[in-house]
Amino acid sequence: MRVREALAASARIGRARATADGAARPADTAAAEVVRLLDRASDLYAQTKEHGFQARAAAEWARLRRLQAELEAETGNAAFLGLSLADTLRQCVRLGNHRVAARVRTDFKISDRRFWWLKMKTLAAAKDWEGLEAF
Amino acid sequence: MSALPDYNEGPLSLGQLREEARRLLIELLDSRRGKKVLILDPRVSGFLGLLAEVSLLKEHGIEQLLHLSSEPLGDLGVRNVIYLVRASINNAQHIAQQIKETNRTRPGAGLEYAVYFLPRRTIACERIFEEEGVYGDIVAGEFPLGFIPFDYDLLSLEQGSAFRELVAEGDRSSLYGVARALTRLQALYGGAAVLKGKGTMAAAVRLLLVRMRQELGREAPVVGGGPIDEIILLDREVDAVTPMCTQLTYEGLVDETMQIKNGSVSIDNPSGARQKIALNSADKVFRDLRDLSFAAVGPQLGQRAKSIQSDYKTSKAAERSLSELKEFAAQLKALPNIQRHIGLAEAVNRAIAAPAFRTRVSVEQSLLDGHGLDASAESIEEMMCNEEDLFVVLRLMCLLSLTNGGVPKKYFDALRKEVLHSYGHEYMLLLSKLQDAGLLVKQEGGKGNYAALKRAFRLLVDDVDDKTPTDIAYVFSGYAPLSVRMVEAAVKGPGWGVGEDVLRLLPGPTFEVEQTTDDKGLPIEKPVQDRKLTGISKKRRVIVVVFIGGVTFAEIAALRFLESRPETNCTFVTATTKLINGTSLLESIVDDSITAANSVAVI
Repeated sequence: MRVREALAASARIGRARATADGAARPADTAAAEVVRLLDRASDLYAQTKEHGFQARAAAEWARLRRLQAELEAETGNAAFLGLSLADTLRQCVRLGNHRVAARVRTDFKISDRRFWWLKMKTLAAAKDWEGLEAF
Repeated sequence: MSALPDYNEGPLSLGQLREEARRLLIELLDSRRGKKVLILDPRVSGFLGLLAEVSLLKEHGIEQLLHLSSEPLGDLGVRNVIYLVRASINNAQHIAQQIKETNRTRPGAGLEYAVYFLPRRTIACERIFEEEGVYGDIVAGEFPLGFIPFDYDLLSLEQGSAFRELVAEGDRSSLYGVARALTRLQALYGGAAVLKGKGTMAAAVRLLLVRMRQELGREAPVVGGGPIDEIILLDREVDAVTPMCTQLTYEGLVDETMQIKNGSVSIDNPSGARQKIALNSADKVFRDLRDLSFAAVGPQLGQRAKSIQSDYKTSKAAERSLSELKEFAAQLKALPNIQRHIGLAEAVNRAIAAPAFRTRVSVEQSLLDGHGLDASAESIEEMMCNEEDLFVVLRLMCLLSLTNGGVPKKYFDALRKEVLHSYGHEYMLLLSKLQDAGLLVKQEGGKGNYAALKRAFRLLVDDVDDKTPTDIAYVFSGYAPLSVRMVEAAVKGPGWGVGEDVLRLLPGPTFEVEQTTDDKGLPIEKPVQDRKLTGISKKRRVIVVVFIGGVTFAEIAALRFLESRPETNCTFVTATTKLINGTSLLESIVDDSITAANSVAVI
């Protein structure tokens, strides 16, 4: 049950900080806090035998959020934090950041089939015909 | 207000039940004097329209209707504020917040607050009022609403959270509401001689029913003489497979594609405006079509339109008698109904024309058949890649789990990981809940009971004729819902009509008891001895089938089909905690922690 509490706490704190202030600093610290709590949740899940999946998922979620924060800092574009992994990849492809997309693909062990399918659909949806040709 | 069904045409005159609910509501409103504002929980306002029209509320002093929020109240021009809400901690917090804020911003307003909880007040809610320091400002009461009639043969408590509480959270408080509503039903229509049930929750309701009868003592509903012969209690958990499948009847498909809410559906007109269509037996065209396989609906509508057309032509040719003309005029009156349903059926057709819909149904069929597991898992994965609706995907995953005694190890984590990757990691909490509920679990030794149940209850039927069906399996185009098969077997003879060994395959205890009185006239229950009560008799028996945790329109259609068969000498009334489909059932399990986590996701 401590595991659930940790996750719920991450949600509560995140929400409180988000509504508190629109300024960049508090949002940053709030986001860092969520990552810390997710890591903590992962540790707590790992202490039981049955929650291997949840432990891995929470750790992966923390990793994703860290990457998203990095991407936002790099691109100066607040368009990543909170997206799902698939949407993060789509966003990378849409912004033409294929280097990062390739990194996300290896980091999160996304299958080839899945990756190419997603990339192709995103390019087609964006009507990026040149990108599709270079495929 | 749209037309109401004739509640009294069924085996129980349910109009009486509706009258009672209205009387309770009016008493509640009249308990505060003068003009007042009514603040409603959105989950209450939905069905309140089925019980009372706005003009009735106005007659009893309601000046304004508001939805519950925690924002302070502005100047409403009245002194009395009545809250009508479900008894939940969240609601109590909103109310406390609103009253505190209103007192702070408008200290001289002098408002009087009355809070009515549905179906009963709870200690938890009152504690919140105490802690927030508003207890003294509030008069708290109850609105002991029982079953709400949805049609002449359909009752619901509209408790959407019941399944989640019972199955995923181990909270059985909603069962009290079920037992109380059943006791009230029997007080109005006479007690049922026989009580049958299957499942843990059914057994708990049985215990509550006995206790309530004993508390009433000599006042307890008299058994025998009333119209109800038997009550069958079924846990949704006993048959979780059925709601995961796509309903293929007309009403079922309308619900699957457009969501029927409180007996009506909203569709976009060709002109672009939203149109609300009431779906109940008051609409004679819908009444004839609702339970048909969707495949049969188009031809039926075409035929009706054509027959009116040809009648119109012949009417010009020949002179007609006055009575013939009258008949023809009545037919013409049905024309707008026919047009409305052509529009609705077209909307369904558009929704099911998508290739994803075909994939979904074919995956379902092969999972129910019990082969093509690998291909099914692959299809599900592909659907996630294509960003199909999360709940459609989860329904198929649950179906895979339920029909195979769990998801095989090699797919379990892979599929769940794909859910997180495609829809967001916050859904890990939902996946955990589904696991707790036993809907999506890992296969551990053995393929489970489904194959044996499939044989014992003949769940799969080949060569179903959609247009002139001979078996209930038509409602899912070849799959007979287990729940209704159990009812079918149980009404044929004494007991459950199947062997002990078969009943043991299903979770929870099985029981069959007689509600009767001892020699002092006090209520007791005893094993059924008088076989005349359950056996085949000349009298057409009335059976109330109670689905604890929700029922789908397809199952209701199957029960209606069953009662239309000459071999079934019974009439059914369906009662439930909530009218559901697989999607709304799974959505009800998405709890506040996920909504909260979702809000984190957007910072």
